[in-house]
Amino acid sequence: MILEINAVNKSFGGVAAVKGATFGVKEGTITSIIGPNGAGKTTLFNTINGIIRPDSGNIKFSGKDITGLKPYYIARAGISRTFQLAKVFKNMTVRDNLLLAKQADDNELKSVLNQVHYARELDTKAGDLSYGQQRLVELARAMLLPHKMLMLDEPTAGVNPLVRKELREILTKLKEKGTTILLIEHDMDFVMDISDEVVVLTEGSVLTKGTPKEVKKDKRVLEAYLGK
Amino acid sequence: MAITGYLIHLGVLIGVFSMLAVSLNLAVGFTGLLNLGHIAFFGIGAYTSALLSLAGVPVVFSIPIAIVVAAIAGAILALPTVRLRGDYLALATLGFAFIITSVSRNWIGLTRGALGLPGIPKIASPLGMLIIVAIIAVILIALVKWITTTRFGKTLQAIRDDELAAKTLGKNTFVHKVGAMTISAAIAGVAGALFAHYLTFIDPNIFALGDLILLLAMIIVGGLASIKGAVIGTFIIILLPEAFRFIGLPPELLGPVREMLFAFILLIILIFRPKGIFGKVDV
Repeated sequence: MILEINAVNKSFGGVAAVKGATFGVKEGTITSIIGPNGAGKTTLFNTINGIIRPDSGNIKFSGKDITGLKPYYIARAGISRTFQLAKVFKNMTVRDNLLLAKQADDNELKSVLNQVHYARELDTKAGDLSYGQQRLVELARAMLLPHKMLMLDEPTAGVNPLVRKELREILTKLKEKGTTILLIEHDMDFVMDISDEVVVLTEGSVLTKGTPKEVKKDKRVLEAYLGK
Repeated sequence: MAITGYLIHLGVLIGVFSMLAVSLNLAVGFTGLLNLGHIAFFGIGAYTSALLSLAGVPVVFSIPIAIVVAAIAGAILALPTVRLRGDYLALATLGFAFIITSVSRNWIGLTRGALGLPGIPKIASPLGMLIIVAIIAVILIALVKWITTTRFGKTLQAIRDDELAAKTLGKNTFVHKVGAMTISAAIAGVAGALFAHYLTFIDPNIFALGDLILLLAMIIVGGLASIKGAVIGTFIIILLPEAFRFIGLPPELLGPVREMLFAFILLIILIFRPKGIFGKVDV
């Protein structure tokens, strides 16, 4: 297990967002976290990154306890991520956005941008791009940051269907190169197609986890989404 | 001769204020730290060098010490406050400026309070001072310009645009923000020290709130996160009101007309060019 999440709890003013979540992510796999809105997926993501400090429980990455460490430290430990709403540095050029992740020459930047099918110039101001293009820049930036694990919060949201299809290839290729990928995703076809393991989160706890096939057969999953 | 003296004075003012405006822009425009206490570092630089040189310390030492003291004051202000966001940071830094002003007025044993400090040693003739200020201003402005192109400077801009994203790219944003405030304060300290030795007299009015507003007007008119803008803004804000001296306004109207003009310039800029003359940045 490259990432071990053990009995993590986080409440906001009495409302438990994450309740004893426990699961692990195997190195070199794609793991998806699914669950209805408000299940605590993004909160869990943020506790892994150190953006939110868990109330209790612990998180281990590559065997090291990273619970409660600062986000920049966790990033340096090898976790790179994107956000549900793309976060680009809007007043900076695409090149400067990418260079903040890694000092690289234009060829390397362009090759990563090609991989994510980004279509515009390096010198464009990131804030002038369409939202879909901003998401691609954010993804390219996360890919450039030296990492062992890539965390993507709803990578298919707000991108066109063509890019969505390509995203599947991008992530599969990254996995082949040895990157571990953890994602939050609502597009079930995408999840079931790409994941090695699926973790179902409801009301802050892990309802079940397993291969896409196993999870699909689990009646409780359907109930969690649609009610009984 | 009188007119030459007047022009030299304007030149020195422009030099001193362009250092202040460019250094303030490093914090406000490039890092997104709305620092309303910048004028305090200017005053700290002025008082430190003035007091030391009055106590017999040669100016070659008093000015560098003043810069270090201003820088330390910048770090001290930054350490507890840069975690605050936007308006809260603005209030905390404004409070800092008030505290420093109050200290200068009331620590009479050290500063002589409202009586001020007369007889601060001169470094050079007014013309010599203009040349010194101009050279140092150019060097410091070039330094800030260079900083904004370095990795450190790019990280500051990233923090301004999205601090959380900068953190998740492994940037220790706290250290960067404290660094930006420290550099910014040190440059304000240079400006203050030079100004004290030029005027040869300072009093607590050096921390005047009015000058703080002028400074902000300079970087807003010129454009946030633009070095050229801060310098041009300084020229405009200092020179434009001077024109009114020559159109024969009665002296009692000069002050109010000057204030009205600042308000007018700011309004025009905010309506027609909200990002400032050379600004490209939304903050």
